[in-house]
Amino acid sequence: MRRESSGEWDLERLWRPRSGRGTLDTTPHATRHAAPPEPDARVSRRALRPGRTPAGIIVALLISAAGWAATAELIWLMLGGRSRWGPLDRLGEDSTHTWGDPLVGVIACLLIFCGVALVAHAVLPGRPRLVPLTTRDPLLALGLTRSGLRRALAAAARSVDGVTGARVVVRADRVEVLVRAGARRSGELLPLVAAAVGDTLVRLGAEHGRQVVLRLRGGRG
Amino acid sequence: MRSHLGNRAGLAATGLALLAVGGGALWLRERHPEVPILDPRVPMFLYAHPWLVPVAAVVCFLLALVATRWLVLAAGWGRRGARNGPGTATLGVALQGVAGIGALRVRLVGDRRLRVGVTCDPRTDLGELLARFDHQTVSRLRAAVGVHDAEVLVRVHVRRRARATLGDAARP
Repeated sequence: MRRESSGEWDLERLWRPRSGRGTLDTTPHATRHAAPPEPDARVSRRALRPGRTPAGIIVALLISAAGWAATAELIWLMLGGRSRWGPLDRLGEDSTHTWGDPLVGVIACLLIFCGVALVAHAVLPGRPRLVPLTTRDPLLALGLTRSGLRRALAAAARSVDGVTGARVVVRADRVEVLVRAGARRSGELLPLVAAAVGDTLVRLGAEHGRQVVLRLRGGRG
Repeated sequence: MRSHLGNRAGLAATGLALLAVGGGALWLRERHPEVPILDPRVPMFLYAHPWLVPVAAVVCFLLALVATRWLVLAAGWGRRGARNGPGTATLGVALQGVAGIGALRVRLVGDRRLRVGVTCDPRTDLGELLARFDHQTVSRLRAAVGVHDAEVLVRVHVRRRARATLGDAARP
């Protein structure tokens, strides 16, 4: 948890995490059994990874259209018809284009660019639409919508006495909380807001690898 | 437990094919710049080997079939699943007492994948709600659906404003 000073980024630890959601049972009965696995967001993150559906639909549509058109054309040729489109009808008539043609270089570069873009789109994990939450079960994935996390954190910040309004922005690597304060001194208010937001994140299990940036606006002192 | 990988596999295969074609064209451009792209002897070659066109037609047909299947699956066919009443009822009992829950959905997708949707109000204690999804609740849910090793994916959403919820009707 850090806060922003008026000038450069000023890292200052305002809050330390306490026990999270579903704390371990320390009774003697529990110690007889094997301890449950530590809560982990990797299962949720893997399960909620984007499926690349829009790109998949576009590419599949293009390939299937080209495949069916080529099939129809080849069957038409087999039945004795003359080719109606494509390079086949120009065979023997137009042999002026060679591999050294500048157009070939442009098209080849375009194909390579598209290929790299598609492979990168397939390989890179991407940002999930839901915020992955920690779980203990390897067959259970929990995800909270970004708007849901935003509203939960804003409600937590607003619950602090002296806060008149709060706005939350959820980014890929951090959560930004903009707090509008009333008359209370910012030095007193900031640790309280940090604790409220931090505790909420831990209770939800959404704190992993995520920095929280607090910005305070208004107030006196 | 992983997300749907079919699109990524198809995109990677298509991208690699495009890379191979583009790289091959650049290599030919570098090595044989004077060779015509469409050799005038091709029609004679096709005339001498009449089996080539049917084979090409079959290959194109198979490619079109695979791409159409990919398109249908990518569009969501078979991934939406069917609503499961016993699962929804079991989850409703497990979440009893949590204030502000507006909607519950349990869908069984395929043989062993459960998609759970929970919509709640800003007043809902999300920590308590998520803590209810412990081992016991998930085991009960799997038993109610009848798939004991089901993968469960839970989506939680918080509405902007409070509305009438499932628990409000029961309250006086």
